[in-house]
Amino acid sequence: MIKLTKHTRFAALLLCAAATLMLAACSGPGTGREQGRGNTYYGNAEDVETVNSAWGSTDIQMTAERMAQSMLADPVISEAAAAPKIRLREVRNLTSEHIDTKGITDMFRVQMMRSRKVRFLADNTNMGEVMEEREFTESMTRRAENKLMSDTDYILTGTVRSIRKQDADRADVYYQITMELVDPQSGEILWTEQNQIRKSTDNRRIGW
Amino acid sequence: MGCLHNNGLRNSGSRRDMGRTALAVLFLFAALSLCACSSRVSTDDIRSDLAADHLAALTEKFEEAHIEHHELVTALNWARALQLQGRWQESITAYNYGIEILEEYENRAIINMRGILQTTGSILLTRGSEEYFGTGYERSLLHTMNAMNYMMLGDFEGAAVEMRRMEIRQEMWLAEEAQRLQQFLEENKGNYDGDLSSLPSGYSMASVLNSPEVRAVAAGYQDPFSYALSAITCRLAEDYQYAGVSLRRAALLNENARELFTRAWNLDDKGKARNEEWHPRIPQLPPANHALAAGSSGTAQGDSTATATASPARTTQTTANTRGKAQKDGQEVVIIVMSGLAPAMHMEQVRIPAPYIGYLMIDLPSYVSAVRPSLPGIEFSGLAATTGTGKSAGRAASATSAASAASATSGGTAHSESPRPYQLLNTELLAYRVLRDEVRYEIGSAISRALVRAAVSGGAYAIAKSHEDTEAFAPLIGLVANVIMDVFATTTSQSVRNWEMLPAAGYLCMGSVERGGSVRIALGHRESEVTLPPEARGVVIFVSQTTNATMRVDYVTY
Repeated sequence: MIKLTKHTRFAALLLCAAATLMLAACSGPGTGREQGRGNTYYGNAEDVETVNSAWGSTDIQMTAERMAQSMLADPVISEAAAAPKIRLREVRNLTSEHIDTKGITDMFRVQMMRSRKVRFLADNTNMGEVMEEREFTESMTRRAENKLMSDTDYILTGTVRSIRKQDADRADVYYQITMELVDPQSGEILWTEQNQIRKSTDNRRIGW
Repeated sequence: MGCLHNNGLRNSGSRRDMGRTALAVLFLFAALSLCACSSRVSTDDIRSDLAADHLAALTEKFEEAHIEHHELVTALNWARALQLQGRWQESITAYNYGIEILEEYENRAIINMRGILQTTGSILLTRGSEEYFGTGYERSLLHTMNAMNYMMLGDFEGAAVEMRRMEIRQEMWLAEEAQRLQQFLEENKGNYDGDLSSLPSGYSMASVLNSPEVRAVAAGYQDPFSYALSAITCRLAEDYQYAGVSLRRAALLNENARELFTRAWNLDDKGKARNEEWHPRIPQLPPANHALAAGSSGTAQGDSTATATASPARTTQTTANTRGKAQKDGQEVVIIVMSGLAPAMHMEQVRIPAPYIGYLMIDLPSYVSAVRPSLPGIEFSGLAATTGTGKSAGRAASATSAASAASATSGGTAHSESPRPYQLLNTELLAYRVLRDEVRYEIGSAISRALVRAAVSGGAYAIAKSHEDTEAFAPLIGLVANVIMDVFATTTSQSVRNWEMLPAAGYLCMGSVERGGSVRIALGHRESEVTLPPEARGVVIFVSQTTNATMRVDYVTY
């Protein structure tokens, strides 16, 4: 049986504590972070995504669907004698996130086009390519046909704004998406709709 | 007795083995720490590589360091190095790595074991056990710096997004600081500056932290440069409301910012643009007297050597008389100069003699002074005024010089009215203010680390002293154990780093040239000239210089 003096026991205890702390200290910076991912698999694109509170696929889907339903139900479209021609203008990103707002308008346009109640003209994104193609085939077409491209009944604009708040316990983000259908001749706003999204994230109480 | 004696011998042998094991364990950890805590790019390497203009090689080192350590600082240094080469998109990616790391840290559990372990390690053993996630000004400036990438790509909306993120971060710190400040004021009976006379003797930062300049800085996170840049960026992104908010904040924080915008945007005494057709595009500034009253708590952080001393009202009057007709056909010029390198943080060791173990080592965070190169000279040819918004592409022009000083004087057609650079960012003062605010906590944890090291070394001394055959060497064993602990603490503390590639100073210069005019930027024998395409409404010129040997000029027209 080994008998240790009081001093020796204390010293041994200190050394053990130091060793533990050294291990903790050495494993401190730059570790414990995920470097790789697990298995890859296909998921449903329409599933609700809540990986974090940042703008995501569900927000795009919700917004585009709500906007499309609202516009289709509005008399400006539903009671129009002929399907009006619309040009998508920019939906401006006024948030504190890098949101590709084209994702919203593209999905919105797909849903609207499926209804066959409206027609869309080329927008800023593909206008350049359309013009190039027209110039290429200019000799084959009449100049007057260019007028058809600028013959817009309505233009569609919008904004995405956000308010983000955070404290030690939780983070909250509020998105406000507004879209407007404007008559470019009179400047009259014929339709407007707003979608609001709130996402809250509670910080875990205890974790690694 | 014989039995007891025998037991005593066995015990003595076991204790001897234990003593040896303990020392072996200490050596092992010292060796482990040497292996584990190396391979970061040292401050000396960074500064010498930049002085020799070996930026590409330095970028590779940063990339390797980031892949290995995956820390905020490694990501930010890498991002800034890419930015200095005009590799905007890659720089955005690297900044995003940094933002990702920061957000992961901010979203950790309220009680997270990693944080507890690291803080415990920092308080009891080595400061290097705590990962650095940046101070307030670094966290907000990373968005400002990233905004420059978007701006140089001609993406003003993306730049505006980064400026909004910057502002959110500043507000987060404001909320945190307000609570801490309130608590501090209550504890110190309203004396915000407090008494720092009890700093350890031999600590090199003692005089700096007590200097009036550092004491005068309102907070270690609010920089008027970012707000001023936000006003410019958001205006270019056509978010005039937000531009106005940023403009007012910049002006409240710093009188130089007020004067800059008053001159450049030709604002009257009430802070409104004189030219009515500009009103929708020029955010309104609060009147000067209001700003002075509201801004009394904030102190200008600029360098007075590069700024005008005239009162804002007088300046406005003068510019109004000399401008006017040229305003309609002028092209805006915004020059952003980011100069030098921020002070570099490291751990400073103060050693005090102590019995049995040789000495006590107190390690405190300290800074190596910032690198402050000479300011480039800026000349406008064909001085006019300001107007317009919109956007288009741009390209880069770079210049490298062998060195030499250039003054902040301006040439052009109207010398007395030439726009001049205003210093709105001084990271040295911000860093020292942060350290001043935290130095009491740092001293507390440094003393606790020193005591733990002393206790471990004292333990080794006690073990040696308790054996007959090692008793004579006990002081040496105590000293050796102490040196091992010292080496361990010093080596692991090499990870205590701040964002060393951050500029030391930021200047803004705004003016205009007549359509098709040019702007000349010179440093020493090298110069860059930007001639504005007549169809552009304006140009944003980004001048980067880390040392006197390097200068890079990039621009984007809109």
